[in-house]
Amino acid sequence: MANSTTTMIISLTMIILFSVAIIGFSIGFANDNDASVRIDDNSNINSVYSDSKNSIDSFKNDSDDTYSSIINTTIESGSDVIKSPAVFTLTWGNLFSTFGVILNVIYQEIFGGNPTFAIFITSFITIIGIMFTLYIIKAWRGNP
Amino acid sequence: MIFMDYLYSLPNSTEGIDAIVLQMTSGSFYWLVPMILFFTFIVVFVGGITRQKVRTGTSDYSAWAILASMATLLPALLFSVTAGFIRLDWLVIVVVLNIASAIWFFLDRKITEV
Repeated sequence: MANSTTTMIISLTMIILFSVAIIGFSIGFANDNDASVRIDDNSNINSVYSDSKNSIDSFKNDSDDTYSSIINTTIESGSDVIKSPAVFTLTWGNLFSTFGVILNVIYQEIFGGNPTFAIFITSFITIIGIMFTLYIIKAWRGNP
Repeated sequence: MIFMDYLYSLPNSTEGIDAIVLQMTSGSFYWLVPMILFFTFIVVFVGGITRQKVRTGTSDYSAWAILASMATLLPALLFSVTAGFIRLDWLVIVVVLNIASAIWFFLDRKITEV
């Protein structure tokens, strides 16, 4: 269970980190060269950038808290072992919601939010839903 | 002497070839920059997966997609410095293409590869 969950969290984290990096680089390039066409003139990109940064910041704080709780754990002499692995849990935080924002900007900017693409986006969301369901089942059952 | 009427206005060539290109892209041939970006993406993506398949027998499609989209972003950012080359929505599409490729790439990795 831990393996699949960890893989999924790392995948989402890397996607969000990549989004922050690529948009941040584009904004920095525009600032350094005084570009005429700036990526941060687009409101959707701005919202993805700020949301992703907030998400990564809170994920970092959660990770720090988890790490602190692990290294501060003490077991008294003669006491029982820890029954629950709760101190090792890394929470999803708002990674899922940020992933939704990223998917939304893809829909808005590539497909223009056009209703004629509704069938495409519906099918795509279905496939994504099936993938997530399979991941959840896989995480629940554990890997063979 | 016979004077011919041109069907289009000749570009002003006294300011160098970059001014001619800029005049073309902002005027009659505004598809030049998107075609260059599309060409860059297709060359890296199709060329990469084809050569990798020839050499190793398999191709990593998602890795070549993210590589091709990053290779497309570099000329797109260079075009964004001067006004008239690239429109904002084209630049946004290139950035969003990068993010979409990243989603494909990072969700495509096997459990032992992350």
